[in-house]
Amino acid sequence: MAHILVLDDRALNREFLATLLAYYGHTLAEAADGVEGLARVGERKPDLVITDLLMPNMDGEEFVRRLRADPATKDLPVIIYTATYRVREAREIANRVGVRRVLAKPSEPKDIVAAVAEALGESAPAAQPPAPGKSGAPEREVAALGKGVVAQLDAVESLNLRLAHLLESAVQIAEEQAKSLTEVRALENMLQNVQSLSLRLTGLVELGLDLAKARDPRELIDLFCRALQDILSSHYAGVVVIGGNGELLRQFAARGLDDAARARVAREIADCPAAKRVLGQGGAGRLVISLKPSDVTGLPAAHPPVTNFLACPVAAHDKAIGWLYVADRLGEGAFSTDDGRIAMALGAQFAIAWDSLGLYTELERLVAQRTAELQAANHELESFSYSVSHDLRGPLRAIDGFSSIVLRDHAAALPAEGQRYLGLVREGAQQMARLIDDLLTFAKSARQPIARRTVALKELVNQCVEEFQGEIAERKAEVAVGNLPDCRADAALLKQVLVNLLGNALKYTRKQPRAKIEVGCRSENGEQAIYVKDNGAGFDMKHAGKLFGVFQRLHHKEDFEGTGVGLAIVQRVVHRHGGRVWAEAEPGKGATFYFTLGKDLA
Amino acid sequence: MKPQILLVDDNPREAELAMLAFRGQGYGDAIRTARGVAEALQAVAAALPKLVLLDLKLAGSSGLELLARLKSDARTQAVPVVVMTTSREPRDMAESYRLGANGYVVKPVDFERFRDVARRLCDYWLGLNELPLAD
Repeated sequence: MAHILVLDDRALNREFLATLLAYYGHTLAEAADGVEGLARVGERKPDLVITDLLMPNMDGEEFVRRLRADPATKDLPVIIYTATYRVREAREIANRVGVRRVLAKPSEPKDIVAAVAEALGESAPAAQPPAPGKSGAPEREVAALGKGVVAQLDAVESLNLRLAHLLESAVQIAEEQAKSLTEVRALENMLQNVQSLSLRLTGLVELGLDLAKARDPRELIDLFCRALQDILSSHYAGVVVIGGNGELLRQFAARGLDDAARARVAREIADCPAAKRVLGQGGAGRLVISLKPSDVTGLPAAHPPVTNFLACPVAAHDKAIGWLYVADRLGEGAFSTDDGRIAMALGAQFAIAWDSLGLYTELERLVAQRTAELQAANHELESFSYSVSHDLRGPLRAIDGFSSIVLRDHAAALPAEGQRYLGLVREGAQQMARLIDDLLTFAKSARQPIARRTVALKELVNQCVEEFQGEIAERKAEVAVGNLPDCRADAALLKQVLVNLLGNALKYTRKQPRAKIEVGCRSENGEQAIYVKDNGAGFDMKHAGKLFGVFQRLHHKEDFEGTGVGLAIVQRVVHRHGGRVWAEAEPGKGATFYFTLGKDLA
Repeated sequence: MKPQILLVDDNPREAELAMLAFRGQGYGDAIRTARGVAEALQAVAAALPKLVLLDLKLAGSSGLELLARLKSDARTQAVPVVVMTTSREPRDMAESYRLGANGYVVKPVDFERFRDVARRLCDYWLGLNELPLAD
């Protein structure tokens, strides 16, 4: 199949052609303007070129002229694919540069495919696209694809299409009925005017979308400048914006100028006399329309001669952030006051987009800064808990170890009271060690990434119960595990939650003659909640708010031992899964702890 | 009794505590200590121990460095090395085993449990080495 080069400054249009033609087995190269196009041709000579006319840097006409000037590419088949209202102008250009085919944009996929096949010297388009495994009517599929690509512009595009057909049939009817050439021309003109309005509308919608998408000030200005050129159908367009830090950002778009010339104009355009005329002396600025070459003054010396000119401030809410101009309207006629109003409105639209981009950039900077700070803090915390695990346990081991030796080997030298005190020293050291372990677990539960997998919850609960089997058997505690659903969770962290809740249930039932613990699942406001219920000491619900805080204890240490970190870990793990945790209790009547795991349970 | 266990720990209090724990198992005289990598390498060169107990945090260098050297030297790589440390960090554990450690023990704070650990280490590693070895 053929290698085809597509030139269009709108990515959307290239995408559409590329998708369509690739479907027919062609390989595609893309370029956004003539300069890029020539580079692509240099890399690999295409069998066919499809080019738009109006593009930045180097337009279609200049591009084809250069192809024709090079012996290697002078016979390359070219299709000019351009907006319908410019078709007549396009035909003239085509004649000048020796191109036989002009296709109106937008065209139906079948027309494009037919034109491509004809240009490639095939008698008819490939009846079936060679792509295997694709059934159904490819034409329809591709057409649908095309519509999808320009979904946002659908209404306007279809209006364009209808107008194009209307124009075509009108011309045909007029010719068939042998009406006079002037009549045909008048009709054509009228329809082309309507169509030009509709295309302007397309450009406006597209600009709105593009401006919202742009994330970089230069990109925004570049997009805006090209849109100005398109929407106001002009040869030249320029935009100057004063950046937040006083930096001047400028862009200048022109057809048929080389890079060096464009750069020269862009450099000089910032504070040329024309700008001063537009922005005035500190005022909100004004609209300037020059209709005769003699009226156009104040453009940079490097600027190509201009016959008509329109300039206005780029301003929103009475605050000018720069200025814009367009020059040399395409086709007949000069700029109108309507054009002026559109230019002012576009300027305002741009100014607002510029403002939001500033906010967005500031927001991004803040987020990046906060993230860096968080990462640093996290790193610090990590090395802190690392040294805690090493350095704090060491002295504790010495305290416990040597106390133990004294008790064992030198008990005879120590009165009973002294022995008891040493026992308390050991207890304190061991309690402290547990506290360190729990705090480290708590710290880790915050920064360990969550790895969600499908967890057989019932299986996991049984494993946890098994860990307490010694105590359960000894106390003849009753532990019932009900039906539990599978869930999506981090198994290790979930196990920590279950062990902590079961451990609590066992601890607080210790004073019951017969401990009863139940693990089950029930529906809570459409969510599945896992619960661990006991018949232990319970607590007063007015303290429920303190339950999940670090070091919060509702019972005296003498009654129930513990570090006060367990439920804090439970809450953190549950929250990190996007779930909730809460408790219901009554003093002396036991407690029930519930938790959910967000939407991923079951 | 001939020294059979080499304890590498730069903290004299920790070393003393370990001696006390092992003495309870009847191995107190079988232990000698080294306070750093160089001292440990010297001791190993003088007489191959039956077991090396290695703390990870040594002043000036890492116990992991000593572990790597023992396990990459043909003369010493058959000596069992058990890392004995206060660190529960999974990365320390993984790195130790990657470098060829034969065991990894977290020293408990509770001294009674530490004695228990000492007893089991001796039973396992020293008892094992009493078995007749095949060629």
